[in-house]
Amino acid sequence: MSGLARLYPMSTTAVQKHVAVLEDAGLVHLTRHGREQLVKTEIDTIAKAQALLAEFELLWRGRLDRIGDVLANRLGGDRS
Amino acid sequence: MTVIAVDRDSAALTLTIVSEFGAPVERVWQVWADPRQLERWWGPPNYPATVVDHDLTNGGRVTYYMTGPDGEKLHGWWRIISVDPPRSLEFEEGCGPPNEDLPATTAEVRLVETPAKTTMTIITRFASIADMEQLLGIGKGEGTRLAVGQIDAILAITTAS
Repeated sequence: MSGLARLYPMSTTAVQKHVAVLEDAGLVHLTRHGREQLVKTEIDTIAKAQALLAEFELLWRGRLDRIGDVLANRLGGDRS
Repeated sequence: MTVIAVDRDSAALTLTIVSEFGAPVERVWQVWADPRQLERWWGPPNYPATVVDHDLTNGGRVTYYMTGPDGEKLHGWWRIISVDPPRSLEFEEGCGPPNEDLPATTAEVRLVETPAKTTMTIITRFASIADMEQLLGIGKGEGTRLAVGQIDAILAITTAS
């Protein structure tokens, strides 16, 4: 953690807060190693979240295309 | 319709999509407020949606089902958190029977009218990866999952921008 903090222009406390947020999200995993706390990235979780978000993005792009179709159709909404 | 911005935040499990429509804000609002219009775009073509209840008031519910090619029905629901026609709508959404105990996915819709067009921002905040997987089952219908190559392609597009 202290080694990580040296890489960023912020205090160790600030870095700890960021890491805590990432840990809550399951994106990093913390282990204690003697006096040091090690931060391991959960690459699989990040990749999975990105892939799922991409699927939802495509789902929404489809919906938005269809909304465009509904708006272009002047009879839209009159269909029973 | 033009998608003008997309943000995928994997730490917050949040997807933000900003799109533009060449129509007044009252007209764009109708695609949410009129259940017959909602049915025309919510489900994919092979899983059309049928809206059963549609109560767009604070605390109100929308329930629907989508019918697959084999006649199977996938049920989904919204619980309205807040609504301010024709500017904003926020709701929890899920599939299967509504469950008050589990943290739910929320969707926030904001409409802003500019001269000659309307900007629609949709922010979806997912409770968990498991929740995302469950919602995708009903969002896309079984058997319509994307090929891995398509996902990689869209990830590459956003990474490059």
